[in-house]
Amino acid sequence: MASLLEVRGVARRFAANGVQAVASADLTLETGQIHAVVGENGAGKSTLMQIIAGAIPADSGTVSVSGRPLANGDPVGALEAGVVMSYQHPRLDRELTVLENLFLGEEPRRFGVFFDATAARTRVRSVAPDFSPALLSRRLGSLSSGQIRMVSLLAALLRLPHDRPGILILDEPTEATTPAEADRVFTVIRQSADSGHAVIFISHKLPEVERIADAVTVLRAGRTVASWSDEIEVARLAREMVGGAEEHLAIVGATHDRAAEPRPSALPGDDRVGETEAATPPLRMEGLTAREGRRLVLDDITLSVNPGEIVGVTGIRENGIEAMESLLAGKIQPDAGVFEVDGHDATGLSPGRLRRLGLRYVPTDRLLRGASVESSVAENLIALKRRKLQRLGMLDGSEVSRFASRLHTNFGIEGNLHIPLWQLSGGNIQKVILSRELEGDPRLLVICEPSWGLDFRSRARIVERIRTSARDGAAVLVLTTDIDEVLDLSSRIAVLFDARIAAVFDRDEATRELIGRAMAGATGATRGA
Amino acid sequence: MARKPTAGSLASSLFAVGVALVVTVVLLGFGSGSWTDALHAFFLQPIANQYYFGNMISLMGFLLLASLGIVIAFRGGLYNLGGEGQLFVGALAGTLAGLALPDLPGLLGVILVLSVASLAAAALAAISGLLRRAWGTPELITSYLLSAVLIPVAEYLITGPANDPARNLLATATLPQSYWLPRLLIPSELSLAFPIAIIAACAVYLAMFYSVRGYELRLYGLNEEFAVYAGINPSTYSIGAMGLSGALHGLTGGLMIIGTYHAAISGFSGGIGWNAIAVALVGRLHPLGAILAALVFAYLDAGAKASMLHTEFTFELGTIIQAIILLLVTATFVFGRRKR
Amino acid sequence: MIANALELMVPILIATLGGLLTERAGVLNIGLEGLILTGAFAGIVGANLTGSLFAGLIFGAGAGALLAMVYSIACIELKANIFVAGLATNLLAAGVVPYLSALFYGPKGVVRLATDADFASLFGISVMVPIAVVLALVVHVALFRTPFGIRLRASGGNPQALEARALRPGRYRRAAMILSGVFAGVAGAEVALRLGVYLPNISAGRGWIALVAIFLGVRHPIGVVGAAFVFALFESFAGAAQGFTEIPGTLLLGLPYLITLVAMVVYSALGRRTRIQK
Repeated sequence: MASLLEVRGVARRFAANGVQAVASADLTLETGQIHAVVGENGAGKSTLMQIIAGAIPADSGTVSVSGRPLANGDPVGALEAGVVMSYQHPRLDRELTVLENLFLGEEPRRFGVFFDATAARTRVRSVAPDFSPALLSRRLGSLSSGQIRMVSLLAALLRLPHDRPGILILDEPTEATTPAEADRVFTVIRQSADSGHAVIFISHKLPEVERIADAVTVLRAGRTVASWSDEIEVARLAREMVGGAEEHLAIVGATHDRAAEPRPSALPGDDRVGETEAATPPLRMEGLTAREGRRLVLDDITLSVNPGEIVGVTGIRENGIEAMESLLAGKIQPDAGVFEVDGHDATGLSPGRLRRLGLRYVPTDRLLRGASVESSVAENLIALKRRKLQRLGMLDGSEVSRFASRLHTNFGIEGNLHIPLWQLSGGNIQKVILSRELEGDPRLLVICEPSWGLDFRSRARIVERIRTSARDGAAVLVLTTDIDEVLDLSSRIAVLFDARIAAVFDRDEATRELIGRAMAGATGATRGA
Repeated sequence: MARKPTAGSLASSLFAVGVALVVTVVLLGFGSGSWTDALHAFFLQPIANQYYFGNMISLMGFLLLASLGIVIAFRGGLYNLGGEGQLFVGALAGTLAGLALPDLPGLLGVILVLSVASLAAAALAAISGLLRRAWGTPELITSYLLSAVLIPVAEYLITGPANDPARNLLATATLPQSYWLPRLLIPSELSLAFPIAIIAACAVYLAMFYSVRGYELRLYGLNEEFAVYAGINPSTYSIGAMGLSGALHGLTGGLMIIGTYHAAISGFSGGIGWNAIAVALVGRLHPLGAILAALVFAYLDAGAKASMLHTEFTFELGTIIQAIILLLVTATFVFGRRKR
Repeated sequence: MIANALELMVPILIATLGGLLTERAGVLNIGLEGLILTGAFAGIVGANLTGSLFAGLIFGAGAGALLAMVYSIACIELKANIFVAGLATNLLAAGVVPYLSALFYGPKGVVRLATDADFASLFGISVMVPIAVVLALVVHVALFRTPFGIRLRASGGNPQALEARALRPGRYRRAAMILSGVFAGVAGAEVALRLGVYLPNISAGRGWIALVAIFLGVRHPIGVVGAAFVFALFESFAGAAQGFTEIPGTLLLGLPYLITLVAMVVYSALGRRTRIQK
């Protein structure tokens, strides 16, 4: 008998930036099963789920429910087959009430014209008897993010078929939830499975996966690398997620010598040589705490970066990496603790002022914050140098050209200087942004996801450039979710989990497995969960 | 403001003008005694002789100058919908200044009138920019409303306290002749204002694409967040760009007075401020494109007025043409469209 | 004066309700002025053709819907800039209506109502007043008690929520825009029919008053009743003031815009977020 869901050989490349999000993924799901999908950031989990739900078409491969293949990229067909997806960032309207959000698009009606709220409430009660009815009439925006997750979950439950097994797909259902809320989510998931449906959920929280999953599939670099249903343990999960060195070599084709054992401390081009203990470190954070609304996003962070040092900070994005980036970009302010750039108090400074203190910043969201895609390549390159390239208020055309060309060659940018930035390939756009920020002896360099979107040769080039900047005296902070990258670059590695620094390693002692475990919260010493 | 004014594509500009022409032909058919006469007048009269041609070019100059103001505002991501009022109020202010100090040497008088006109209009527009910066009040609404409030005030002044009783006209007293700009193509009204407008367009072009400030303005309009990261001060550009936009409108008004009318006459602006928006958009928000667009518009406007003599009744053909163009010029077509 | 204000409130309220629907759908409708003008003309024409005032209102609604349809096609199908298209809508009305007026009624520009009739009275005030208030209640129910209203609000709040459920936000936006044309058209017709004449520029800034009234009424159907009444009070006061003060008529033309401007500035200064969507 066919499994409830069979995914075979699915692949998908995004035309916009050429990234192969999913290379070859397989997954098998049985009725009544709670199936976890795990993997690092960028492993392809979300994309795969969206393909199953028909929200994104696949380039190849098949998705079958109970033996019958689904039409590619057909969300309505998937819904009819019983596949219901609940997104990581809920597609809900904060202005509508909870009840309205739950039934949007499938509202029960009275006299054909009016919204039958009573019938709606009855349905909610039958599907989720424990859900508090008082919440139903409240505006969604007034709920906590944990409660909003529950609403999103409930909206999905309501769409599951009642007469046959359905497939519930949840993307990070316990993100931003308190332990009690997470428990409620698990209860719901268990109930769903017990009543004959199957649940797929993506999670970064390996201890939770160990607790609740019946089966697991691990994705790495867009491929299914492992799948099992016996003995689901955090250690095995972490190992499969980050992989041994040999497998990584095979997949990525790396030419670097990367061993699974701790690395020797003396390496050629060791940039520890340039490190100095500065009296005023370019970046100093002490006991730094920050909140977004009521949620703690950075908890008691103490970290400094000295000139010549490359400090890597890694972890799951939502666990503190995003928040740290926002802080350094001047978008959020610390509630407590010390935040100093080059000895100056940096709390409350605008992004422009931070720049003037010598902070250079390559944002994760390159296109939104880091560039103007409608401007030309040259215009993007000179954004920080514009004052210096002028004469009597007019931009000196030859100086601009010379400057832009220099960056062009140094960073291997391909493409005419005068075409709009959006016409460049994704990789070249990265190079434009990186080159602009790395140029000119910055004091403090904050780089997020440096090799995102770059091919292998360019990755090596960027790594070299970052090392050069450090050698020239810059203090470099690299925020990334790519473990290889952080191992490659950093002399010190801090791992964030749950808004705190879970572990700090010197490069000598760091291994992929240690980092992986710390990222997943597997080293104990965490709050709750 | 979520949606920035966009430059549009060549395709949409051509499409808009094309559709407007088709509609014109149809409307003239319905409204005219002799269809061919009306069409003939529409297309040919503007270039028939020196008088008509000169007037058309004169109008082109004013449309161009005002549209430069729109180009600057829209490129900075700001909706200046108060151009008509800025033009009118500026012109009146300049005229009153010139009347108050009638004994200056000609050149100084000209400078006086134009400066006061520009400054008054700039202040008006800058208020909208300030309100947006301080309280987030949409400049789209405040600029329009400020104009709508002050145009009647200016009209009141022209027809009342500032009215020249000696003449039987709804206008202020005439400016001293030394303050007038020389005419270039008698008997038309074409004056030195036109070359000034062309020079201004070139200057705006150079500044916008070759100066640091122009670079910053454009960057601010294209991606405000990135611009702020690059250290661009949002106040300078939201308030300053609006002010500069107003100044150009005021300058236009001032030039219209000293070049053509020589006094502030009731209703003299005739919707040039509004037309300027369409001109700027058809010209794809480019100062040099605006030159061509201004010519096209002046031609259409002149043609519309000329054709009215051959229709059974007069109607605002010019307004309809403008409406159709405005409606379509920002349309996005699936083919050849830029990436979002 | 209160009674007068109530009657003056009717067109403002109805137009504001139309604008509220589009605003909730994520579109700031600056074409209301043109829609009102169109409705005014159509209202007189319709009433003259049929002999009935209420038929005039229907004509006004239809004409407004037609113009709004053009506006919505430009914005939704052709993806034109909403604000520029709104301006264009106003201009279109300002150009086409006089054209039609001259074509059918001669060059005078003023079209009179053929009869002396007026709207029926209820307790001394026009029956349109309670009708307008009832309309506000209907809009309230439609927005908050029907699936259509829920989806319309979602199209303005988070269109992705609709798309995630295989619904198209554009459908609801268009519906809102056409409805705003209907409402504004009725409002314009009411003004013209009450005055007994169509004049050029009879809309007199009501489209912009309606916009600001949306925000003053906290984007809520019941709230805008209050906001519309406040504006009507001002209008009534200004009209009375013209009687016993010396403020010349020309100046007073700008008064509605001044009040609107002040209201808008005060509103934003008090820290409300204005939701102007792309």
